[in-house]
Amino acid sequence: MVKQYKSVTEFTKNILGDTEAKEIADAINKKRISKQLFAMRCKAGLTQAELARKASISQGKVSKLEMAEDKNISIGDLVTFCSAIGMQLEIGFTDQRLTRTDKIKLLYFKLRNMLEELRMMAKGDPEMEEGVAKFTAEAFFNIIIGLFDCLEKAKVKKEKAPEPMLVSEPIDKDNIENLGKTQQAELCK
Amino acid sequence: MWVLERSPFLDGKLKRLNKNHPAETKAMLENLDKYLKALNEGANPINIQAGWIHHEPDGIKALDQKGTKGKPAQTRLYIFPAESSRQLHVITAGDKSSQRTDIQESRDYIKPLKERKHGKTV
Repeated sequence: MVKQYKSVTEFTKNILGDTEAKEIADAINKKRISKQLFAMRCKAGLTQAELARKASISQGKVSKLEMAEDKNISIGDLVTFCSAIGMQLEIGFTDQRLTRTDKIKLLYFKLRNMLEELRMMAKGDPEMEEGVAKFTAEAFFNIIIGLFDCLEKAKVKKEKAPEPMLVSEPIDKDNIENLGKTQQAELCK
Repeated sequence: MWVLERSPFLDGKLKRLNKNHPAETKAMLENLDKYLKALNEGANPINIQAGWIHHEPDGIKALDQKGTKGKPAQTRLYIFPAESSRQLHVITAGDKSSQRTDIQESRDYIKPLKERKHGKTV
């Protein structure tokens, strides 16, 4: 079977080796924002020239932004680019000491607060209240299903070592007939 | 999620190119990463356009070395996005001198892929 790769770093490592792969990974990491801008423009189905027209900037500027290193992109540039494709720029600050599990907990509280905000917004409007209740129930169901799947995957599975020898019942005609009779009796119950 | 798949003759070509033009090869692979990101974000291959993406016959794309500092050599990485299987085929790589052969080689490589898609027996 032909080997498939999920990332260019992994792909490079396999063909050119570790050193080149590390160089590529470093270069890619320096351009995470410009890569995202490029992907968002393509998803929006706009050419560089079309986006430039919408954002009232030159096409050269769009091209430069899509090739720039993160440290050379200004917030103003990001706002202009995002507005042209109907996106909102969101900036977040996170304590570097936060672990992944802390972040999951934080997300849970955020989700709870957002649902609460939604409920408060709908208060007094029966139609909206009904919609919010329906949405909350749907969200609850989907989240539980997703979490249940995570829980199943997270379970530590202990492989039972196969026994060196297995003694099964001898297979003869009587055994099969008896099995048949027992099953028939079960079905008639 | 899209996956990268390489042709059997890519390794040799890419190694040779990396030996002669390391900066250009690195830039092309960075551009490949960008292209893959756009696909994974849900962009239609038709809409993935930029100055460094050249459209060749049969849906083949050639990614160039844009991003290389100085006066780079003209190099190309030939790819083919197979939408039905979500496989991004990385076919071959070369410079200006091998461009004609590289395009023909790429067209030959994707021919059976296209026939398979249209239900023809190969």
